[in-house]
Amino acid sequence: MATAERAAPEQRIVMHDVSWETYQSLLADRGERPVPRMSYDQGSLELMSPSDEHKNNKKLIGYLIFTWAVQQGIPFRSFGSTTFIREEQQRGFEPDECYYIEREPLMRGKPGIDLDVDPPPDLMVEVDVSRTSLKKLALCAGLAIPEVWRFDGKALIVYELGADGQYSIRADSLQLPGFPTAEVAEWIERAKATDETSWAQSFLAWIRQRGTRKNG
Amino acid sequence: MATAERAAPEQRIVMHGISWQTYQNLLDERGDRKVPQMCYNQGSLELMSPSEDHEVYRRLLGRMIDDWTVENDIPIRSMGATTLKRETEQHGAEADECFYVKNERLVRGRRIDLNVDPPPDLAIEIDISSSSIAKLDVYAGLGVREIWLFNGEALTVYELRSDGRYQIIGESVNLPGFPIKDVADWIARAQTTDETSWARSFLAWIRQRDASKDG
Repeated sequence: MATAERAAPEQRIVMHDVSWETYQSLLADRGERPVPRMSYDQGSLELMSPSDEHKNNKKLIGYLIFTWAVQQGIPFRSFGSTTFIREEQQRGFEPDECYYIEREPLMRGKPGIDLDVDPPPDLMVEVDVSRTSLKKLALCAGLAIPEVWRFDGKALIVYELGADGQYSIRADSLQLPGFPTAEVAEWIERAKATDETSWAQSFLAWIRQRGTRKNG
Repeated sequence: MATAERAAPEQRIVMHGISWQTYQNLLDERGDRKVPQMCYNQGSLELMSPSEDHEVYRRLLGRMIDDWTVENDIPIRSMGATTLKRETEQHGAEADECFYVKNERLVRGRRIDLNVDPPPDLAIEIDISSSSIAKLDVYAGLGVREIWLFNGEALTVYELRSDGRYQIIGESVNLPGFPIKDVADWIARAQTTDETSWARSFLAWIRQRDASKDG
């Protein structure tokens, strides 16, 4: 191949009219492998292999949330790429990260999430550098996830689930009040210019000086 | 390359440990749709969604083959992107185009059944980004004698040898004389004019080439 070595781009394939059984077979055959990630919505199956940028953004956002929650003393429990399945809705998906915050005590000590007995996560984070073909928010609403963050490479958008079962955009987080959602893109950009230790230390220093007030 | 931008690559997802039955189910559920294209190699499955550039290359190369075979009176049977599969060896492929040439007579007028009929003589693969699966192994398993691989920049021709491996050759065995080395240039040229003018230029060029050969 004539192309030079470059960062792996995201790959996405969507198929339609895929049966639930086939979706389950693919999940089973994939086993412990992390890729491809799969989302299923009533016959439509999306397979995705994240780009290097996606993987990096996911990691950095995870750090920001972790650092901030620790600094603020907010108890939480995170689960990485978990497969959420709702057979009665014919839906399934795998967000980048999910967090239990208010409901953390209910998940203490559990190795994984079982939606048959466990509550849904309080916060779900999706990194979505290229436009997704499936309506992920519908999948989240189906699971009654109170808050969803979506980072598209340029900005972090906060969605809150309303009583009507629809998400609406908020300027700031209810699950992690005061978290600097508007500055996430800038912090991710900053990570490119330095090592992770210096970056994390800058972020920590910045949130300390900012204090717990939103506009601090 | 004559074009200023790099050609947009295909979308590719590969999965391992996939059963033949799941592969069949995916083919069935895809139905009449042409995408994604699927290649299956003994448990590994690659799904491919072509880019616009991929489709352009497919069409242009297809036209060149059409024009050349008509001009040179070579009987062929076009099979398009037919799924070629053999369960016994666990292989399945869908070329961008494939043709019967040497075996055209054997399969004329028949519905092809790869369990009894020979596979196509020639398969064309457009791969702007490299495939993640060992496609040549699949085609070798299916017994396709000649593969043309176009990556957007050059056309490479492979012939299946008796040891079951492909070797790069300089001249097509099914379409001898086809201007392999000029394909990339002609495809690049298509960006500079309308398709009709382009096809007419190509026809004129191969006619003049043949005339000077027979000269």
